[in-house]
Amino acid sequence: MDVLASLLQGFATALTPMNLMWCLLGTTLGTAIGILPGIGPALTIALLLPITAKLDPTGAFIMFAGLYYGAMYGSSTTSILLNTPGESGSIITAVEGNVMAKNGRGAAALATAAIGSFVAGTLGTIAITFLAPLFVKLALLFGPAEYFALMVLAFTTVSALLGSSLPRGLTSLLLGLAIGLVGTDVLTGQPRLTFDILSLLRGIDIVVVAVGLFAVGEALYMASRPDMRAGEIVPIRGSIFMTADEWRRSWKPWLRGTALGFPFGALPAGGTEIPTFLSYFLEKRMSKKPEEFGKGAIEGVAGPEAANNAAVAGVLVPLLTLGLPTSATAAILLAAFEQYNLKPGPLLFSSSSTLVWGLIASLYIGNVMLLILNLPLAGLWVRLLSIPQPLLYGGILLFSTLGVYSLNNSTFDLVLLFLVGILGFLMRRYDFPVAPCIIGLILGRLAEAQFRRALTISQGDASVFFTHPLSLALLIIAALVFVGPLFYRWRAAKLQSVKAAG
Amino acid sequence: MKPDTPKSAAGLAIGLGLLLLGGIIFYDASQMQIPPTYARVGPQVFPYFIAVGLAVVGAYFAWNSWAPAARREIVAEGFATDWRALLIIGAGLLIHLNILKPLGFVIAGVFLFMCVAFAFGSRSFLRDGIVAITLVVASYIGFTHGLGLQLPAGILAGLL
Amino acid sequence: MNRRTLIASAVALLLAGGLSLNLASTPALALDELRIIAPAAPGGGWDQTARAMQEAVQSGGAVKAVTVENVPGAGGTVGLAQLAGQEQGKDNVLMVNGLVMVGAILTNKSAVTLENTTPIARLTGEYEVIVVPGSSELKTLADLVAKLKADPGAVAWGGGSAGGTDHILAGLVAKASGADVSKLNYVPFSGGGEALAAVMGGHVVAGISGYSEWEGQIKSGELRALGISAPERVAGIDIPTLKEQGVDVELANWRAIVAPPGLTDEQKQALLATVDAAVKSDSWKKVLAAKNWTDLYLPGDDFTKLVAAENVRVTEILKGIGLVQ
Repeated sequence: MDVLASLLQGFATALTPMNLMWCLLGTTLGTAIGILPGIGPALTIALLLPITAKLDPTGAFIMFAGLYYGAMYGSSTTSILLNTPGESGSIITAVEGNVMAKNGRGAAALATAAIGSFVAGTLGTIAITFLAPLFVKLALLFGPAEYFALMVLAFTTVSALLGSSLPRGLTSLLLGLAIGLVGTDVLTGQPRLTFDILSLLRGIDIVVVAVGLFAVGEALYMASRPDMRAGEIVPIRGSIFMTADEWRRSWKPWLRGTALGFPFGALPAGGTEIPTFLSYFLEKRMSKKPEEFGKGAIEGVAGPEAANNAAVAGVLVPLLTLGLPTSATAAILLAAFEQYNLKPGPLLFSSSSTLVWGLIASLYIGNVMLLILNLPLAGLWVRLLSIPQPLLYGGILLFSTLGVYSLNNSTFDLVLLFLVGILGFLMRRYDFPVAPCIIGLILGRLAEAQFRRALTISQGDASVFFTHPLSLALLIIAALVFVGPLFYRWRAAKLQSVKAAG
Repeated sequence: MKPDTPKSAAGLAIGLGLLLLGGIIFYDASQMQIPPTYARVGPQVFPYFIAVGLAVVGAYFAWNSWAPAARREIVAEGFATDWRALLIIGAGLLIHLNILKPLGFVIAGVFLFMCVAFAFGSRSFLRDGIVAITLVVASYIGFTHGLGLQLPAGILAGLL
Repeated sequence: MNRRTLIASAVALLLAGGLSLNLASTPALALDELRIIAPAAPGGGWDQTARAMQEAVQSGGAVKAVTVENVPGAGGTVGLAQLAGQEQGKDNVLMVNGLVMVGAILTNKSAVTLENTTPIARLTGEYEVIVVPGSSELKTLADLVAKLKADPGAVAWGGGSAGGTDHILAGLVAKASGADVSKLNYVPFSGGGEALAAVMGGHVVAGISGYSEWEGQIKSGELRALGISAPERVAGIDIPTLKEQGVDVELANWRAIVAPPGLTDEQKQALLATVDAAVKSDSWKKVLAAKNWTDLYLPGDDFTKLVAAENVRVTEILKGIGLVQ
């Protein structure tokens, strides 16, 4: 059957009142859980599985997909307004977004995030519809050596977030790497830095660190500064919505973010976080005013937000076409398919075409719904900032602890949250940037595991990183990214001196 | 900032703290039993690198704390610190995690909210209490009944 | 509430449980409340087993309220520590466990072992498949064994966590083929589809997983199954067993249910009766059929013996691999 005809058939399925209702329910619930740190789409879908067992599978999957997309929209809201990322994919959003909110441009930041997510989600869905086989081939090209090279490339992006001082930025990065060591070593099962504490064997969750550094650290810091407490936050300064200039600065980052995010989602070890780092880095590099980054540059919100939503779309490609889950949520979706005795993979498109195309069509509809849901709400959400500080921070800490506790139903995670919160407070007090710590935590674990996997497969031969063409290409790009600016600076200096001499 | 301070105490403390952390990681890595692998790069290699890195930045901060004030990384903060507010929130978080299971999410949650609001200077106990109870009870009912999340009921089990 | 009142109420609860046990004619009616600990996050195999058991017990009406509690971490040993610690002596708690936990206890050097539990019954299980990419030059298990014998390092195996079921099977196969187990080249991947992608993309030589996880890819021909770890051919699965191809290994990734330590014989019998009734319910049978789980119900002492035997076998192979000293 022709793709367009199938898609039209899919819209016919998705547009029935019942399925529209499931889509609305999913997107709304997704937005809600996206706002809460710790409670993400994977946990929610897992908890909903037994309840949905009795439902029609098409309706259930339409709801799950809406939930998955919705969570990414929702988490950007709290990232921007409260400096509390709901999901790890929107940690970078907090860096520029929260500064914008403090400058009175919170509504514009929310708008660029919502529209960027919509653009990325829709383009991503188009890519699923027409380009899925291509990306599947790409996903299988990546082995451990290629992943390691990719991580090296991702590490260079940390340079965009180091802040004003190299030693302080480096310290933050090293702290993140050290936190990432805690737990069972993936390759040998050896405990590292666990001090014989059983609960530490599972490692320290990214959510605990993100919430601790951002939400708890920020709450403690604000409480310690009576002078900042007195200061009034202006919810809106200037136009409530995006200005013409903000539109002009946003649209290219949306597209670039989408292009970065989608392939990452399709990679089995890609994730939603790394493309947001890359996107932020790219936007800072491409910007004519890189000095605005860190002071509320809208590109730094638009790009990463598009990237994380595109990555979510990308995840569905290997899941539907190969039955290959590339994220925690995808793994749960796979379990959901099994619950209905459906096997995702090449046969799914022919054996359950109503479901698959209904699902794809519902992604288009879900994105429109999320835009309608989030855009008018942006003006309303920013009023959150006018809530008196005692109530605002009371609420932030209440939901932070709730989310972290529900990760593992363990009060031990709350002890960790408390300790990381103190670390976050100290880092703020002495002006250490927190973003490199998160990047170190996320990338460090992955880079180490892939590096050692690649060497295990090659039986210790380190040349694999240079003999695999894709790996070599990525390493060369990383080297250029790293050396490039130094070269430019050198050339600029030389030109200067030539001019001076001439 | 007082220009005549001989050294930055905070800078020295941070430097020594990082050195200590590096030492702990180094010791932990040295105690590992290394299973044979083809990778030749065992679970101890990356920790060694990180430990050395932390020691280097730690030594730098410690050394830098004697530098002239203008070239110091860690500057003595030029603002007042509300230690009391910090202590109240810290204690609130610690008490919260200890009473969460025995007393339940609702009581622990309301307690935490009130603590934080108090630390941020609010004295409108009635308003804070109403907001806290509404938020906590609504999220408890929503999460446990709506989503099947396991939040501890504690002594209010059966009531909600 | 302080610790003393907690203990008092726990004792009261125990007494109440014991009393109603004596009064009621059927021991299965003893419980008001039953908690099933799933020592893993929601969504995984253990969690699904716990939730299926929850429904099955509830469908019989023997217990008023059955809840599932997730205590994830460290191959289930965090849950195990809770069961042997704060749940000790409670006759209204059960925990799901399985072969993976046997390995995790060893690799994590857990102070608490399965001896600190009251075994109830093995419930289900799944057999493992050994696969190669569809385009691989290895056509049969004999080809793989030959390659393994010639140079164990040349066969990079991709599978799940270190010391888990997949790793154990790779070790057992190497040993049974006469290859040097200590030179096994096993590459653990962290969950999800990473191992599957590594096999499909040809980044490793062979892969190991539970059958149902890779069923779709095997049927579509992207993966070639060389053997299944079942004792004999499984109905509906067209894959030869390892045994019939001369590799004398059988391994089931079994899942079971255990109770806390320190129970009296009557308490144990009551829990066994509850589980027995649940396993015979329609609800349980439906779940088995829907999820394609193999029924490996083995209650009581036979299960206790199985755990001991598996412990010996797993310890030996993990020592051979060098993962456990």
